[in-house]
Amino acid sequence: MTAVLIGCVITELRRDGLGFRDVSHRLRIDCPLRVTRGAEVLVGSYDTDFDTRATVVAGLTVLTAEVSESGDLTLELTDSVRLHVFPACSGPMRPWRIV
Amino acid sequence: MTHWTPGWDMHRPGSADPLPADRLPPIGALVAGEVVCHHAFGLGLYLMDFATYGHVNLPEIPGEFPAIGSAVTGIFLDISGNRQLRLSLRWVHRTLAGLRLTDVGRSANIAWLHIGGYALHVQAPLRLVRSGQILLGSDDMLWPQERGAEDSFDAFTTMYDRNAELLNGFLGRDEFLVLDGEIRPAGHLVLRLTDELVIEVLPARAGEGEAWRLFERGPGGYHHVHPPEEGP
Repeated sequence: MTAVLIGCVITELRRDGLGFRDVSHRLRIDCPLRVTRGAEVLVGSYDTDFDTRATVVAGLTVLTAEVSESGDLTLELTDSVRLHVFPACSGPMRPWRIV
Repeated sequence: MTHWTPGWDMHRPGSADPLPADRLPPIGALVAGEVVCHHAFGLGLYLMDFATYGHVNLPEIPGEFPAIGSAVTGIFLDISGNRQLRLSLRWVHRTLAGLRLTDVGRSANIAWLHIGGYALHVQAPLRLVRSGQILLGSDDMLWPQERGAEDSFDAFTTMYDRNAELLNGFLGRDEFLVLDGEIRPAGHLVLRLTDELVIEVLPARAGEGEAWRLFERGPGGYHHVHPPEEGP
């Protein structure tokens, strides 16, 4: 299912999701996330200035998408950037989904 | 001459005075260091609290080499042949392996876990997972046990508080011991315990602010803080 994300160009990242250029789907996110390059956090959901920092991913392309056993979604993006979606809630709600 | 001087090399005889025996940290102590050089066989550290230098050999470096100039924590192993300190960066594993997770809780929005004589305080996304199922997560603090209860955070009646209480019941009966631990890039802390229990902390802030700290409970113990605190 995450294969539809590969090749998508990101238009915007918000705390509640990721939008893409020229496609009808988006990634809805209801859990913590962070964007890193190597050992540096570029933006994370605990940042008070999230929206300003989140512009760093606009225009980047999704290269790979992986889901872990715990439900983490990791997207490798161009420019050596990684988006890690990290479920941290025990309840039945979906931490992320493609809508 | 120090590691800030061009051409200085900590390995050259006489480049650093050996630490007198009465100033050595106890074996197993956690010490703060700054990476000053990379080599095929390991890396060199400046140990600011002791104003001396130490070595970390390749098998004691988890994952990639930390960058020169970066702050690291090491555990003191012994004194090498040239009277310099030998350390390990696998300190999470060496410090916590074999210790028991005894209880979990929170103070306001700071989650805490007690592991042997250590405490882990977390101000970042946290979860305890077993076989892919989240038993306790930091986002549980956002959800009241009773729908619509507006004071659940202050009244300690969130889903986090309920799950912590349930978990503490298990932890009191069964021994959950740390098997292994590591810090992945950007402070991603992973502790693997018996019975497939995994504790994970994922720092999620580019701006200033503490994500987590691991410290020895009681006065005088070393605190490892991520991200590292700025010096004076």
